[in-house]
Amino acid sequence: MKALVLLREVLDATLPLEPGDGQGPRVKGQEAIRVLNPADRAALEWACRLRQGEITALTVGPPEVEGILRLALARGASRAIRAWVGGMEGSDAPALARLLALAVDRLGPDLVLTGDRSLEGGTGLVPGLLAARLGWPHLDGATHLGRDGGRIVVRRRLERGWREEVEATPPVVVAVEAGSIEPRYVSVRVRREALARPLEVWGAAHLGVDVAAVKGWVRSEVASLDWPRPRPRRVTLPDARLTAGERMRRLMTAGPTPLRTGEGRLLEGGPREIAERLVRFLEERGLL
Amino acid sequence: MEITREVWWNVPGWLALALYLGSALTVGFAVRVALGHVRRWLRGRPLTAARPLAPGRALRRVAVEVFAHRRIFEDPAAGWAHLLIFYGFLALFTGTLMVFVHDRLVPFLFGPTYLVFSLTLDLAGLAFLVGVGWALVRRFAGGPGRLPRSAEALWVLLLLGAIGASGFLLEGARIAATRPPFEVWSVVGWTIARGVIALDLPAAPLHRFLWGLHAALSCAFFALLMVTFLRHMATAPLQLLLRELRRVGALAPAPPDGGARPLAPESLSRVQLLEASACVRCGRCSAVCPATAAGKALDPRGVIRKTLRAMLEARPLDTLVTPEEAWACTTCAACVRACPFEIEVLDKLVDLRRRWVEQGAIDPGAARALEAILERGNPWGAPPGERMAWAEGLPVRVLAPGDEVEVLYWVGCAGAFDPSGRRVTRSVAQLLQRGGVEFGVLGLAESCTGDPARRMGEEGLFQEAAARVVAALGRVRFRRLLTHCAHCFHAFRNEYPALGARCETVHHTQLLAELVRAGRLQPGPALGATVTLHDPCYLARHNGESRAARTLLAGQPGLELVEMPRSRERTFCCGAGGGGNWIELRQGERIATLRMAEARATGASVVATACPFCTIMLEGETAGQGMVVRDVAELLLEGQPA
Ligand code: SF4
Ligand code: SF4
Repeated sequence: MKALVLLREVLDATLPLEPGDGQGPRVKGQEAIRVLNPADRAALEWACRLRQGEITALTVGPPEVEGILRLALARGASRAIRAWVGGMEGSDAPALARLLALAVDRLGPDLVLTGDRSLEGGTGLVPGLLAARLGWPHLDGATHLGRDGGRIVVRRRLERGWREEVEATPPVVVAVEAGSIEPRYVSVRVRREALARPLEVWGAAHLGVDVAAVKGWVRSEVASLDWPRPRPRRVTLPDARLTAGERMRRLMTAGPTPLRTGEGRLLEGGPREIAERLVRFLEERGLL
Repeated sequence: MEITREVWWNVPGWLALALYLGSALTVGFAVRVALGHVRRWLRGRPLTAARPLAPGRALRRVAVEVFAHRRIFEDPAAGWAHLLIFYGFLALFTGTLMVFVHDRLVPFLFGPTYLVFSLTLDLAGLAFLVGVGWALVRRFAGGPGRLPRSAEALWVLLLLGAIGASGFLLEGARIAATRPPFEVWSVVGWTIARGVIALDLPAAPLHRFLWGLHAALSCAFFALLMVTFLRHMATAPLQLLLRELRRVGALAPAPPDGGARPLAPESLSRVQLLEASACVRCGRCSAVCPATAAGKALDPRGVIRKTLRAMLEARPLDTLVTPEEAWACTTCAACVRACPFEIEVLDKLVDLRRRWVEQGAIDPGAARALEAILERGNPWGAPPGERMAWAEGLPVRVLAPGDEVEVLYWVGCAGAFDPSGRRVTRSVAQLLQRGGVEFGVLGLAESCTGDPARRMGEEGLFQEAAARVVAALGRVRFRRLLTHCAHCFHAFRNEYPALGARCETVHHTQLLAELVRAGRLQPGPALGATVTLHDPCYLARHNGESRAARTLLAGQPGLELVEMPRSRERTFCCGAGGGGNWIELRQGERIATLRMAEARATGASVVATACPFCTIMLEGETAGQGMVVRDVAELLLEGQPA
């Protein structure tokens, strides 16, 4: 089975951002860090976990994004391709899906894996549009992938906490949720070795399109970006008496979030007592 | 009757021949086994010395350890038992050699010389037997639990005892048979002889039997010499000598293929293999190991035993030691410090981690910290742009490339990002300002020293992080590098010189003590608190600095300093080292819990530390205990006059 993993490079949005001079946001007080989109990283990891045949990593972008392909090679991809046609800058989802469909046609994989949404654009449309173009099943929100003989078994997250397990006959497009798999650590030594491996670059000729036509695909573009109104963000330092592990957790996750500054309260006690106090709290505010 | 001993009295030729044959065979066997060990050592990687061998110092040290039993006497009972056996054996062995010389080369044991010789050997034999008996009691009837009650130990000690006892008995029988009056000098033999005579035993046949027995037992000793822990008689001096080439806890770089292949014995260094042969399984390492005490999977003695097994059976070490064991180590080096031969456990565990890191099979917490170092330059994954947030409102000079400064203050990631770490940094900066020290920081140009990466076995990342740091340091000029983190301190002091960054590194306790001594900082109003000092492993043990912090605390009026049972060089880890800060081990207790209990038992209300990692770890244990954890710098600042 041949797998194709579609990757994107995104701005590391977990860093504090601020409006930049031009269009996009800028990272506060430091150089921006661009990273492999977390959901795509999960997709790549699932491809490696399935461990079947060739894994090709592909991204669409200018030479600057080759870093993520190197990383993909280090993480276990057997082949890496950067596809780029001038005029694709700022391309919208349908145009991107169209270009990807051409690449898929050329490569002929049984399985196309990608993240269900990117940290930056976040429309989550590309996998679906691609599947539609190819006429393949599209399984999004995947949290687990397996194989049953020749079939792909995907566990999907549905609305309101429902899950379903779907079996599909390849070829299929699977869009994977970020964080659905813990990626293995890839050492610096392995990353360095990946630097020496070849990358393929596909242009218009490889994909069998001409540049002008591709330009015509792009029908919408971002005209301007408005910054969300600044919301005062209070950083609450974790309680110094907690264990180191607990404090790390609170720093890295949100912890109990205050409703309004100073109003957050942690209820402690037995389940019954807590339930009563919760009800009382809601009643006091006329919410019940 | 001439005053001497007829060496071969009552020994028929065939018995003498059997002795020669037997000892030739058994000594030959021992030599063969010994050469097997040597051959296996030599298959290992050559040692990269952390410091040049100073022969004088090295020999002095070997002499002190071997002849004065310095380390062994850290457990006085063990020290005495071993001392008696050691000198008893040495005397008896030398005596046997002297008899050989007298018999075959230059006869000299006549008259008074012979009498003194006899008396000395009898006393030595007595000491030897007392030592062996004591050792047996310590192992098999009470004594510390660390000693293995193994069959090997039992047989070896019984054999030693039997050799000593049969020697006395045969001497008694000889005296009883020949009755030379001057043999009253052989005090023990004489007493036994009187017993033999009183019981009317057939002295001559008895003597012949005992002589044979004594000879056979001595041969057995040679046979066992290299295949039991008796081996240390040969390996210990060598191990102690080579130990001088290394610094405790300073890790050697990984070999180029480090971790890419299973950790076969050839992938270990020669010294690591020698250490495996040298271990006597005394268990001193396991008795002090914080991971063992907290009920984790790690047992340092077991690791060394497994290394020996790996060497002898030519098996990769990673098939013997489990990841749970290797990741439980905090690299605190308590084991190294306690070991009579300073056998290093943690370097083997780090080698194993290197293997698992390359396979990507590591704890998710460790993986996150490593990726954070790689991507964000700090193991917390904190936004690098916030590196100077600690200095808010303080006039701190951030150095630009080319700047020159007296003291370069290396803040470190804990000091820059962790809330309690920031408290320490602010205190240090304020104290420096008060003390009139001209200092600056690198600001955003600072990044992780790579110490956690190296100790978590990610050597490639360490090298990369360190190269970044070396470059950043090279862009400014300074006289001294100041750090308040014991781990940064260790890295700069012991590991960076090999990377080309040689600079004078001071720990903040040292610099602050200097300022107090020079009167540039005043011990201020009384704090009125009882304080106990938790020595950071990487400061007190790895770098032998435990006085400066005490000077600071002792200078504070109204502050009473009480010591924990495990302090200074023998301090007990907080659990943060070796990546312990990021790895969550669910097995057993938290090491910090144990340490806090020890601190609480002193009755102190304040635990002083001198490393942000210790502060973080111990503060996590203070909930509901009415104790606070403060860096010595914080305490000193509180004590400054307004
Ligand atoms: S490593 Fe050292 S302390 Fe540990 S058992 Fe062996 S000899 Fe004893
Ligand atoms: S370094 Fe510390 S934690 Fe590691 S084995 Fe030795 S005593 Fe145990």
